[in-house]
Amino acid sequence: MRNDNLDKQIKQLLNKQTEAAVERKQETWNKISNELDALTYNKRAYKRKNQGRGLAIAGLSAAIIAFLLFGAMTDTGQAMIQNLKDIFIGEKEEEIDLEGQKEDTNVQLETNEELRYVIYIDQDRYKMVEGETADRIETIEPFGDEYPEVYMEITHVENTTTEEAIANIIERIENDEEMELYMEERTTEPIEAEMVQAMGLEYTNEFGKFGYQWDTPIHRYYVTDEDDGSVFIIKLVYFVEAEEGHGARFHYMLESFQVVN
Amino acid sequence: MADPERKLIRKIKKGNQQAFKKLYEIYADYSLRTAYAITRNSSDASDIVQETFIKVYKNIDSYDITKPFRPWFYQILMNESRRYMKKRSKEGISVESEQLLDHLRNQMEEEKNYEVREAAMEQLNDHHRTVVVLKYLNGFSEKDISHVLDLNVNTVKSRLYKARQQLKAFIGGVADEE
Repeated sequence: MRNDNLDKQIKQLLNKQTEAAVERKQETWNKISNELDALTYNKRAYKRKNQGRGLAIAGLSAAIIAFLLFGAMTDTGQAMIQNLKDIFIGEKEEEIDLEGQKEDTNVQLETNEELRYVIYIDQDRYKMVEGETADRIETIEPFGDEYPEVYMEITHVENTTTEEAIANIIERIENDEEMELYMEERTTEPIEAEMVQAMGLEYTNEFGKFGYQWDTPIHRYYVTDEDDGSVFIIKLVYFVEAEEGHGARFHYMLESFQVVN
Repeated sequence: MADPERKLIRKIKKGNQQAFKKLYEIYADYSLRTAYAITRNSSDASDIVQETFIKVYKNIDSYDITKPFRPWFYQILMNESRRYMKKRSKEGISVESEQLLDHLRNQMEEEKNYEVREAAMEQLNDHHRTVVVLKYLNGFSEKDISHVLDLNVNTVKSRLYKARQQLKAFIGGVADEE
């Protein structure tokens, strides 16, 4: 028997012999889905117990929602527009690396159903403030007047391209007397986007040292790839001394940013 | 890894359960077939695939997205399969009712020659059957198989050679009769 004929026969035999297993596909998924529900539920229960405070779970619990979602899901059903809160886990714990130190943070899902985006925010430090033209993630504890601003802003811009949006940002930076263009690059982390960074002007401090100082503002813009004639612009605002703190936390939160069509 | 799959994994890393369901749709058929070909029991195959996907879900954060996903996934699948096989051999279960039913179902549906070929596969030992399943059912290269099973590539080649020789003796015999 020729080798290629033998190969063909082995392939056919294995495919035929294992057909019965594929019949278990839906049943297997149901078992996985139930276990995922239990995992999500237990994690929440553990967190509630350990935090010693109740976490408000509006409406149905994620476990029930997930069961309804996946239990009732069909191939055609998946194509329907779903509530974003039904698709994503409401809360989770994440390990982040801050200045070489591992830290566990509790992150909470924030969604904008109209713009179809989701982001997980560190619920112990930040809050989402929805605006008419942009959503802002701000610190829960306000900063004193001596500190520059700190926030992350998410804006959806229609009828534009990524290039146009970047050109507008650069133009605004060049017209701003207190800021200058620092760098421009394509990024894959924290998200795939075009990034533009502006920094406050260098100056001489009280010790006579010239350069960027602790309070020099940093403005970082991420412009997503154009989708159907629109882009998202995510602006991160912090300052030099806060780069390893708020800057890093914004980076981790932005990693979870996702547009769901 | 194909770009759409990379995007899917990124979404799963971000907590998207719908993306996880899509990943299941992509890998379920062949993982069920693979587990079944190794254990020869569809109930065990279903349990193995269930455990595999749960492990993927729990450990997705540790998966390096710059590396191919498929070998990583199959490593977990093969480890789970081995664990089940070990458990089964300890329990001393040779033929479960499930397996018997599958076999009877096949017997009614298939022609005599197929049964002989099936028997050829049955007579391979677990090591030989595993490499054959990875190569012929899943299309893995010998190098990939060595990676998935954590074996030397020469060991994989040797097992494949011996398995093919045994299958050739059976299948070749049937083919000669046809």
